Amino acid sequence: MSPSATLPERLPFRVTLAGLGQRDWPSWLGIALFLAVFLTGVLAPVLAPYDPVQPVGTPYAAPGQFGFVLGTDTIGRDVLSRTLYGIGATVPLALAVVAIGILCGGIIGTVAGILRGWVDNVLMRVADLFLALPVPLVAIAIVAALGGGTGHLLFGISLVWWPYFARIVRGEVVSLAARPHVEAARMAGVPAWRIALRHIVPGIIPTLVVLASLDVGAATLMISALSFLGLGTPQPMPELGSDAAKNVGALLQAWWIPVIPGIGVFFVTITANLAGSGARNLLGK
Amino acid sequence: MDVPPPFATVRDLRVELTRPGRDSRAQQVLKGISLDIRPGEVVGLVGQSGSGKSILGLTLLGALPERSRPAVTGEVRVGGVDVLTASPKTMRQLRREKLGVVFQDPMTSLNPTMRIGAQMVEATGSRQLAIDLLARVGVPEPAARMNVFPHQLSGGLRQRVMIAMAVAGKPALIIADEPTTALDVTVQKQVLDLLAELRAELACSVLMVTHDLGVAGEIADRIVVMRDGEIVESGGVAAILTRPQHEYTQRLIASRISLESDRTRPLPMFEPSGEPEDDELVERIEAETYPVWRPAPGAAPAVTVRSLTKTFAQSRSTTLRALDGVSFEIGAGESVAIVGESGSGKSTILRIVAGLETADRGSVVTLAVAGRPQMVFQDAGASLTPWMRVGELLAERLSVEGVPAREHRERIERALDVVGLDRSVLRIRSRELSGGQRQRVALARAAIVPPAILLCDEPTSALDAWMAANIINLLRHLRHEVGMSMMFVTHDLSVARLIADRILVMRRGVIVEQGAAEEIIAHPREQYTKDLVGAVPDPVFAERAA
Repeated sequence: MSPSATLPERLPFRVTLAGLGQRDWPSWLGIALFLAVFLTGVLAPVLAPYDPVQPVGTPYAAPGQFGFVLGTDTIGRDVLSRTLYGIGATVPLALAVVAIGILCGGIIGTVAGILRGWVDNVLMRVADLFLALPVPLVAIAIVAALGGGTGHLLFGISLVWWPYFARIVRGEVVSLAARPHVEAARMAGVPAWRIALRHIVPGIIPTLVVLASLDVGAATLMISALSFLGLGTPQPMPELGSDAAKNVGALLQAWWIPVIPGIGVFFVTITANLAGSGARNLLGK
Repeated sequence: MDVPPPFATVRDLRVELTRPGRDSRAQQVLKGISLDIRPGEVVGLVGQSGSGKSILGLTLLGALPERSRPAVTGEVRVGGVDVLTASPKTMRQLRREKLGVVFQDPMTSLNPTMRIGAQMVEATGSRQLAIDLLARVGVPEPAARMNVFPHQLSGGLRQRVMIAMAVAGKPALIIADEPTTALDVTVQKQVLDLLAELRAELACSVLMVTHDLGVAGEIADRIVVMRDGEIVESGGVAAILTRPQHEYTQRLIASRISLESDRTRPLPMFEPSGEPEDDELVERIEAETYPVWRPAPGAAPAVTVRSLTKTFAQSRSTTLRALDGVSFEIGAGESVAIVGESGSGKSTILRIVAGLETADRGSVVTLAVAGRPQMVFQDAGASLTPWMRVGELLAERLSVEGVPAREHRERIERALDVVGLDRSVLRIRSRELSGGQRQRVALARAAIVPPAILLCDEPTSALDAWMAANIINLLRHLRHEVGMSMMFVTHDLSVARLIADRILVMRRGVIVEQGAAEEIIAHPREQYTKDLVGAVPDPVFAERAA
């Protein structure tokens, strides 16, 4: 789900944390699969059979040949090890992008939704401005201008990611603010900052969880795309997007070298999306 | 005399539902129901929320919610069709040809994206028939109304449209689930009269599902009382209302708020299933008597309202004058009810006194020595922030009024005692409280710092008979213990009479009549007030008088 110009002001469903107790196995399965992929990446140093950066065998070994489960690449590095490390590099980055987006978007959306008036107008028009731009191109432009590397990649993508969250959070805050419990708090004389922090914000957290989990897959794709274009972690560090790009020339002689990192991206994205739908099924009603 | 075979038969019906959510165990919501509905008969199905009465209606329609994974045993025959085994196609045909349905809120059952006309034509088949039918159910200017969307109609008109659609196919049975609960008393009366007329015209049966014995008594031939998925008693209206056999029915009738309820004594209370017992408070309340309020000589009024005027913009060119120079006073310790139909301006006054809205002109002065005005909302439970713990909600109110932190504990415990809640609720989040506990917490929060005035917005209109009696008792108990001034807004004169010393009758932004509560009810001067009094469904009274 990438940001687009036609965003809903509110989610079409209501969200509460109460749903977490449900025994909805397919939803939990999606979440479990993503956790498994995430752990595989994080535990790459333990799980990977070889060093991902050093050549360890004959170049162009086919999957299964000489004991390399997924073969070796053009200079004889183990493809399995590189892919595991690549997942380990990509997934935390995707989570970081979403976390930064949620945090910035959440704060901006909450401020706009509670203060309303001109603050709301200014913040939301800025958000609209970002939403009107083609997101991948802006991200590419920012990273290209700053130069590649993990930090710049993170910054560039996060910068275009928040407006989407800000819009939805603002809508949720506005609708919560009209609920009787907020009116009751106003009548009780509770100061505005406390109404915001205690009577409104906790109510949007489940929504944020769902939004965030639905977005991890999209963030993974975006990171891999930029890295494919050479804007991510520089070689020889393993990274799914750049591994696929570097070896795309070898596609005809040794298909596994570019395709397997691509399959890695596919696995991360699809399990992230399954986990996202799972979270939505569990939390939304 | 030949008795015709029943149109609908239910035999030993058991329904188990598994509600999706945290607690996903199957629950038996109907436990062996047997019921006949004869042609032309109006059956009033009465019970509290959760008694299973609506589920019975849905079972007859073959429309139990799939997501609750219903498990049904027994026998249900409607118009010769075995509902439990019939194919979806047969059920559609049955619903189209023989059944009509009216739900509580027509806003959710009418399609909001379709004009009334298009929906009516779907039901009737032709535009002319649709207009005739709208005219028949009392929709003024039916041809013009064909072109509007459901949200542009008032609640009463929407319910009339819904009824028109229900009777379009000349059904043999109309299933009406709380069709008047969301409506004003005067509109309720009109809708009930309409249903009675249509039933006579079409000679159809009606299953009237309601929590209000008064509503059932108005139009039913026979009343069936349900509790916890079982039928406890059934019989003719007169028999049930004047000589109820089952203890539960007797208590339902006793706790019903009517124009005859004793004003000096609390309403009889009883615990519905699933509510924690709290004998101690119930005993204390039941021992209370409420003396007639007398103004203390020389005491300053709690609230003085002077020539309030408020205008709302309805569209670019039209405005609505909600208040037109309203003035009144509420004495210290006095309880005043403002009564009127929706749109009379009564809620606007309440919101202005509450400080949630500002007036265009005029002034509201409240007693400075007391806490700021507090409000009991229409749905008291919804006014508690769901994720906050009770202790925090109460302490918050104390801090705001500047009560030093060392006194909090004692004040909170005293407030809990007044509403009869155990200390243990302090650590519970308000969404985990039962409905009755929520009411009590909301009242404790409103009264923990005695406010200059306690405002109540339709405190009973969203509640079934038990919950309504409960909150009225609590409010009167609170007044008894804390001695606050109160202002109620309600459309129900029987409620107003019970809780108020004085009644102000409002219409179109002005006070048309005011006086002592008993006096207004017994001798209304204005026709408008007479209509309000006449609209209170009070079949028990009528039966006894007859």
